[in-house]
Amino acid sequence: MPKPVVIEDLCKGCGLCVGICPVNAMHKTGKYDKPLLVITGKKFNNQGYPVVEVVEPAERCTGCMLCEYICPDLAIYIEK
Amino acid sequence: MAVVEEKGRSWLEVARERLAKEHPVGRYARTLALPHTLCPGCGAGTTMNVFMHAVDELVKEGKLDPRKLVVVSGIGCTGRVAGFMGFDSMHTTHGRPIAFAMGVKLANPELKVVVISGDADLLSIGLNHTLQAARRNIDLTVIMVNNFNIAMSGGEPTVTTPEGSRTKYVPGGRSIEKPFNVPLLLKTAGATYVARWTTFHVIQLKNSIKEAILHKGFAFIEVVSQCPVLYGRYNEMGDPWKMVEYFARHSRPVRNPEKEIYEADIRLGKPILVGVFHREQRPEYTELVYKAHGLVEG
Repeated sequence: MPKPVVIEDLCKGCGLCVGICPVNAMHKTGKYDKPLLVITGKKFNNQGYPVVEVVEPAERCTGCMLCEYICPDLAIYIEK
Repeated sequence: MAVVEEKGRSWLEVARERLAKEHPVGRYARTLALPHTLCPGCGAGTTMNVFMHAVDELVKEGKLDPRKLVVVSGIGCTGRVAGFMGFDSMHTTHGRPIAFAMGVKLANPELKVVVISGDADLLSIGLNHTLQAARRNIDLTVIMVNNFNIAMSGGEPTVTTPEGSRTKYVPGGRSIEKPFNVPLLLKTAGATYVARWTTFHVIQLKNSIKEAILHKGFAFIEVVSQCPVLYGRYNEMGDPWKMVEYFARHSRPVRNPEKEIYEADIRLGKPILVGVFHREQRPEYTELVYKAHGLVEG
């Protein structure tokens, strides 16, 4: 099963992956009760940025690779 | 939160090692230069990431040798991108990346030369070089990241700033100039592959970069990119995703490129046309030069 993995110390918390994730979009329409990627603002990395977190169960990931492609900092990738 | 981890290694070294070992394109990154100096949510970073994925796929398909790839960039925010990737790279003077890239290509035609630079670099100070290289149809791939302003020096307007948008240092606050119609300009100059995508269209952009690298001739890809910090904040789009969402909602694929290329300039509130605008085959300049000087047989 594909699932997103975050290299936390490289993340700058820009939120592009959160915006482009189709599972997050389906969460907005009510298909899922939880989004897949979130920035809670409670967890910070060593650079001082709030990092993106993967919400379990990560098996909802469709492996579309959009978050991996759009990340400007190479901080998120799909583990297949 | 410990700054220094066990075994005496800093968190930075651990993160760089994870990037090099775990990330699918981490082996192409110059890990010593990462995390890079671009702002959070910068479109130049997205372009770099997509370019590395495109190169990765070409290498896996056996169509490209990463040791025969040269990335050239000029000055500006996007001009730094060549230094973040582990390919042979040149960081050249302002506006002259295409002139340097032509030198590289003519000296060693086996190399694949890619220019990644910004709109102010390639279309404002370096416009002459861009047009002359397109006219000659030399085998280069030019990826221009269009972020609507000169971001590195503080957000001044440039030749691609949409009319009526807010930037710093404009009398009256709003830009009064008409921007370039970039696809039409390059097609008229003689480029044989002209495309435009936004940072929202990552998959299409990756396929387009692959096609442009394999294309024999001058290939030009414009990447409409977000600059949330120096352009977006003054235009009610301070959040990176808000700006990418604007591109997603306001772009539409071009259906009839021969006609619609005349309306391809970016205007506020009008759709941004994306797609491949022009494709043709013409004799390539390097081959013509080598033939004219008798350096190749036949």
